[in-house]
Formats: sequence, structure tokens, C-alpha cells
Amino acid sequence: MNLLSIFTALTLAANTGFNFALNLDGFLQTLPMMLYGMLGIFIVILAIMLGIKILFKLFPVDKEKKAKEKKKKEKKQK
Amino acid sequence: MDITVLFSNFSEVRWQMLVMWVIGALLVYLAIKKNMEPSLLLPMGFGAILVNLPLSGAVTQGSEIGPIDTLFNAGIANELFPLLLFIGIGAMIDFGPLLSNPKMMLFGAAAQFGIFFTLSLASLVGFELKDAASIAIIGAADGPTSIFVANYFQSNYTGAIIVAAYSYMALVPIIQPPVIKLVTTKKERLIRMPYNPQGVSKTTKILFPIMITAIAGLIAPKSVALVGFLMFGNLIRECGVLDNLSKSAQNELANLITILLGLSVSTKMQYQQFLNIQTLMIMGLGLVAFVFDTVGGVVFAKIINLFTKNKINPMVGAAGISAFPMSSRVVHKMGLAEDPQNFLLMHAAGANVSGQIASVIAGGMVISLVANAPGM
Repeated sequence: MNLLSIFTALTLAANTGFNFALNLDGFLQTLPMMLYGMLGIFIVILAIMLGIKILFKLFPVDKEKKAKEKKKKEKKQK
Repeated sequence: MDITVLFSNFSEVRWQMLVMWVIGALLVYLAIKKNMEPSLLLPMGFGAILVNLPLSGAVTQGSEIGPIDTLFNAGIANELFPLLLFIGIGAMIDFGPLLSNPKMMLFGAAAQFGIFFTLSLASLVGFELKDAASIAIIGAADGPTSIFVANYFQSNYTGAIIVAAYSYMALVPIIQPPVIKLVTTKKERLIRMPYNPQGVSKTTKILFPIMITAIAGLIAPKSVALVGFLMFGNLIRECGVLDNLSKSAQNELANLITILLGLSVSTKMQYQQFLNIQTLMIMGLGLVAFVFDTVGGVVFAKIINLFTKNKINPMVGAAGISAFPMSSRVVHKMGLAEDPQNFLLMHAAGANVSGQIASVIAGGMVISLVANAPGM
């Protein structure tokens, strides 16, 4: 995207009304968001991992295979 | 009547329009010649030219509502298009590699670090919180999520954010390798990971999307629209009785929405909104987001290695971003380059798929946290 950057840089001279001053207050306001945001994502992901474990316990592959084979056998017998 | 009437529009051409035509042409070029996210960059590139023609009838001029603005209001302003696109994406995702190796989910979470790092950085350099949040979500490496969040906050920079998001997604194979090399040692890159997947039952695959929706809805309710539509698409795929709907969602629905999305987003690429220093800064911040996503994933894998016996190749952590399947391919190729017998693809694919879920949850988290911030 270098060309794109160059083209946009051409407009630097234009007065955009953007405040270039460093906003320390805004920065400090976002630090707890960083903490809570990452924490929140990990909590959701850990909850999903726990959910997957439970699903594996409740519905193991073997159990399903056996049930299918049983059904097949029953059909054959009929 | 004077014949000059036919050419009167020429006097309305501004140099900024010419710049936007070049940018539009560049996007079209990148889409066609470099195959960079062509399904989105091509309509956006063409749209950028279309909306920057003098007195373009495609966009609103005075009291005359333009069709592209109508499309934008009908599908993006109300967040409909990104959500519908998520149904298609959900139908395309195979969660198999993730379900058979659930530990990889953690990397999806860790690799969202760039979002929050960029949120802070964007705030520091002077962006309003709502705009900083919209810019930060470029790090989700997920186009529809970026559109959804930027639109939720009614950001002034939606056009630039979307261009940055899709451009960097396409540039993952260029951005990630040097960053991964910078934060890993050769010894770490050589770590082999045996692949012992556990079998996944059909019932588990069907219940998985429902479970994720419920969990995300309970913990991060703002993410439930995004997660819900994504998981609905996946449920259609996995249920086994809606193959036709699944195929339609993957193809017709996704393609149609992509066309409309790319074109209608271009209304935000009118030179008055696009050509400014902020666009340049957004491009820079978007790159920062992708870099720190990668660093977050790799460093997290290194931290896990401090406590576990079976070491993880830290490169796999970098695949925790949502750009699927580019990121997992990058990691796999880098693994092979170090050791031709080191096959990391399935691990990386698990982390990569997890990144798709985590990025959507991150979008919801950002919305929740920023919307509840004081002064919003």
C-alpha cells in the first residue's frame, strides 16, 4: 500500500482540523480496557474450551459409532 | 442551448478526485494483478472511482439520494450486510481441526492483543475513543467485524478502516514472517509438534455452534449478533440436513453480499472523507495492530512453554489471527523452511479457526467496553 500512502501523504498540507497533540488522558483511559478486553476474551475462550470438554464427555465418537453399528445390525436382523 | 453544456462537468473536476481515481485504480490493480482480496478490493476500487466523479449520480447530491448511499443505508448503516456475510463465512468454516485440538483456542484469544494495543495507541495519538476503537478492530483481521464495529460507532473513517483491514489481510504472508522471526529463536522455530487429533462426534459438531453462541451471549452480549450469525451459518453446514442451504450460504449469499458490500462501502471513499492525514495514520495503526496480534500470539506460546512438558512451536501462536487460511499457511511454510519434516499445518489451522471466533468476540468486547466508557 505504499502508493496509497504516498497519495494520501500528498494531502498533508490540507488543514484537516485533526488534533495531533498526544492525548495522555485518552491513552490512560484505554489501559483498563486493554486489561478487561483481553481478560474477557480469555474468559469466553476458556468457557468454550470447558464446553468442548463437556461435549466430548457427553458425546464421544465411540458411543456414536457403536449406536450407528447397533442400528445397522438391527436393520439387518429385521 | 450551448454545446459547452455537455462539457460543463469537466470544470467540476478537483485534483483530489484525480488522486482518488488513482487510488481506485490501484485497488483494482492489486485485486486483479496481485490477487489481494479481489472480491472486496475490486468493487471498492471501482466504487472509489464511481463516487469521486464530479457530481456523481451514484452518491447523494443535494436532495437527490444516490443509489450507493441507498445501498449503504439499507445494508451497512443497519449492520445487515456484515451479519449476512457472517452466515456465509460460518457455513465455510470447518471447526474440525479446532475441536480435535481445543488447546489451540488459547492462541486465538492471545492473538487479539494487537486490537487493544492499537486502541491505546490510537487514543494516544489523538483519535476520539469511538474512532480509536474502530481503527483498533482492523487487528481483528476480519473484514465484516471491522465494518460492523466501525459502523456501530459511526466512525468518520469507515472507508479507510475497511481498505486497511482488507489490504492487511491480503498482506499477511508479507507482514507475519519477519515479525515471527524477530520474536522467535531458530531453536524455537524447530520445535516439532506431534499431531494426535481426537475424534469428534457429529453431535459435538452440531452442538458446538449453539454452545458458543450461548456462552458468548451470556458473557459478552454485544458480540452475540456477530457470533450468532457466524455460528448459525456453521450450524447449517454441520447439521447434515441442509446441504442446499449450506451451499447457498457459502456461494450465492456470500458472493451477493460481497458485491453489495464492496460497492456500498465505497460511499465512504469520497475524497472529502478519505484524503486526509488520518487515512495515513489509520494505515499505520492497522499495520501496528497486525504486528502486535502476531507478537501477542507468539509470546503467549512462549509463556505456555515455560510451564508445559510438551513444547509448542511459538510460530503456531501467530496463526491465532483471523486471516484464514493465510496465517496458518504462513506458519506451516515457515516451519517447513526451518525443518522439512516439521508439519505444523493442522495445529496452525486449529489456532487460525480459533482466531475467527476470538476476533468476533473481540469485536463484541470492544463495543461493550467502549460503549460503556465514561463520556460515550
